[in-house]
Amino acid sequence: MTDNNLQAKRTAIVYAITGLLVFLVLVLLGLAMRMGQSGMVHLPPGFFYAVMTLHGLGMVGVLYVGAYVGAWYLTAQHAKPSLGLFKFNYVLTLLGVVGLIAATLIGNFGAGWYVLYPLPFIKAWPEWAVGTAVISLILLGVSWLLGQLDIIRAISARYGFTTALGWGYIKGEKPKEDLPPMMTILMVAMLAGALTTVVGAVLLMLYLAQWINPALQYDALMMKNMVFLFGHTLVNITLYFGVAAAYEMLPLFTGRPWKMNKLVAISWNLAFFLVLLAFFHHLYFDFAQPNWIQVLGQFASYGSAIPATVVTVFGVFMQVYRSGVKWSFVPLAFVLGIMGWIVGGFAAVVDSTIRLNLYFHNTLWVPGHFHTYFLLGVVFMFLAVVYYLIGPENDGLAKKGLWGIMIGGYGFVGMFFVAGVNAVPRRMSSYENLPVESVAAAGQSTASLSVVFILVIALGALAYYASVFSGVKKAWTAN
Amino acid sequence: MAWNAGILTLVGTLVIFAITAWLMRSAAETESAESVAPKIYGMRTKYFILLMIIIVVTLFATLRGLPYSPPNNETPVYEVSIVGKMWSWEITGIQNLQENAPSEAISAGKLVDFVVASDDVNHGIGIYNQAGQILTQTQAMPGYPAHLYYTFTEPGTYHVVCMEYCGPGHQVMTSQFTVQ
Repeated sequence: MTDNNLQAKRTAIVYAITGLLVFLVLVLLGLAMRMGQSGMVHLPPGFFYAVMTLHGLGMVGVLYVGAYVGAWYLTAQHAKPSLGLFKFNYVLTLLGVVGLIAATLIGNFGAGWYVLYPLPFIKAWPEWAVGTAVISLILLGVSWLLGQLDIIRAISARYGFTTALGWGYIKGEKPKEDLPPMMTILMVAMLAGALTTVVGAVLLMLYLAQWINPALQYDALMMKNMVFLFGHTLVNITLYFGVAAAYEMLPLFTGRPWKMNKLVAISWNLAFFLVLLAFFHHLYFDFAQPNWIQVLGQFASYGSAIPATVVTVFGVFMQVYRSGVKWSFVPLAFVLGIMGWIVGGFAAVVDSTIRLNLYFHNTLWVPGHFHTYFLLGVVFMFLAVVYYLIGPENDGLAKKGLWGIMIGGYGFVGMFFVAGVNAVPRRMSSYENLPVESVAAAGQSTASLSVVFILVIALGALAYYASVFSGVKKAWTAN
Repeated sequence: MAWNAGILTLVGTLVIFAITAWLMRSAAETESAESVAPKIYGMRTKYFILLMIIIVVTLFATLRGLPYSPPNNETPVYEVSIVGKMWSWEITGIQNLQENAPSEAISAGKLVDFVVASDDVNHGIGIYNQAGQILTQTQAMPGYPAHLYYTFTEPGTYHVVCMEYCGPGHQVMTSQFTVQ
């Protein structure tokens, strides 16, 4: 390895370890929330909602950054993304995280991770906490936007902008060299991310302006559209980065190439438009939104299932079916992670049906589906990349950990879905004030059971951590 | 309806688990990619056709009777004004639209138009029956009153729960009303 490659690997290792530790702390915050909702402990509502805000922002952030690290490192094997920016982004991310911890756990800022306007500006938390949260989010947004633009630049410099997007394949041209499919997926994801991170940045600038000048007021519908365009895209591109890693890395274990072709190119270019339009499903019950936009949201949400399953899932079939692959940790985690993405995606498509969303909107079904494709999807893909980077050869302990996370994980998300079917509302510090006894009981009992499942997840995670941390020293030194 | 969707999701999940298990077990044997490709791509074509049929049929079936207008274009009999503010709901007026006069209460079997507004942040009005089912809901967005249409088939007590997180009092923001 050259010195620069070693630096890149070490930076990725530092990011990975930080991410794993932050993830575990955020899981414990989630545990506190479910314990509060079960009635096992009493959390003052203000504190609950501050923890909820930190858990949400933290998880979305750590999973995005974790996926970005994988995307950066894998891109660096083919192209030249900036190592200096990669290191700088680590610092910016840490600053943003410290700011959010201060705003929430010290300042009790509890506007939720959506920071849905005008909620951040109510008088329930001090003004300094609002400003700290907004500025921290701006730091993170700047970091992420720079990271996205740099990867677009690096891939374009290596392959050409339109080539990297797979347009040559779509036109039926013979390529000069094989394009790794990961490049097209990352280009699409980074472009969608950059566009919508700009939208997020504008939103945060407007918040900053109102924080400075409280006389300012904005249109609530416009703000909700902006925050969900940004947020929906952010979580979906996090998934796409993980899926890109699967396209790149599964072939190392199956021995079968995963090649770019016309269908893969069309599919991912289509995904660019679908991901930008599907976000309207978050506003189905904002009746002020024009009806045709609501319908478009359902079309785009259903449409998202097509490239994901027809191309990526069948691509996984082609990789795995009768391939003789040995189920070591990395391919196992990738395949189970893709499975989790599809399970969560199915629940999401059900929820994206307006007439069903009537019963599920703002119930625990919603965290059910996103915890599924996050915990059992993206996290598995992240654990695969980290293991590849630093895991020891003997993966027995890590695999036991993975099964623990899987069993605990499906039980944990299952409790959200059961509660959602029982009409338990989401984002409540406790259910004791719910006016219908059966709904309150469903909320408390599913929360109690989920505490057990979270402990199983935590045990699984600790087994995985013990395994990878034992490999860090060897990975840190040059080969 | 919620239960049906839940069962559908559970069945779909179990199918996904089964397919993954089948796929992973198949890897115990070895066959060349060239030999495997026609089988997999053949499956993919069939799946694509099936998926498109399901999507088209489901879109057609579910994009009707949307909550944005009165069901069957009926004219509402009652208009109930309800305002959410941190952290309570207040029914500010009930109007019988047929008689063009205020009413003490709403009656079962008649279409109600809930005009839902917010005085401050986003709230969500969820109307539950005594069995704990959500009958209907909408968002209360500041600056944008919403019309929520519903016909109560049974007289009795119904509950209002705030569904949109709105600050530290969100969990106590409930109310109730009676249908005669």
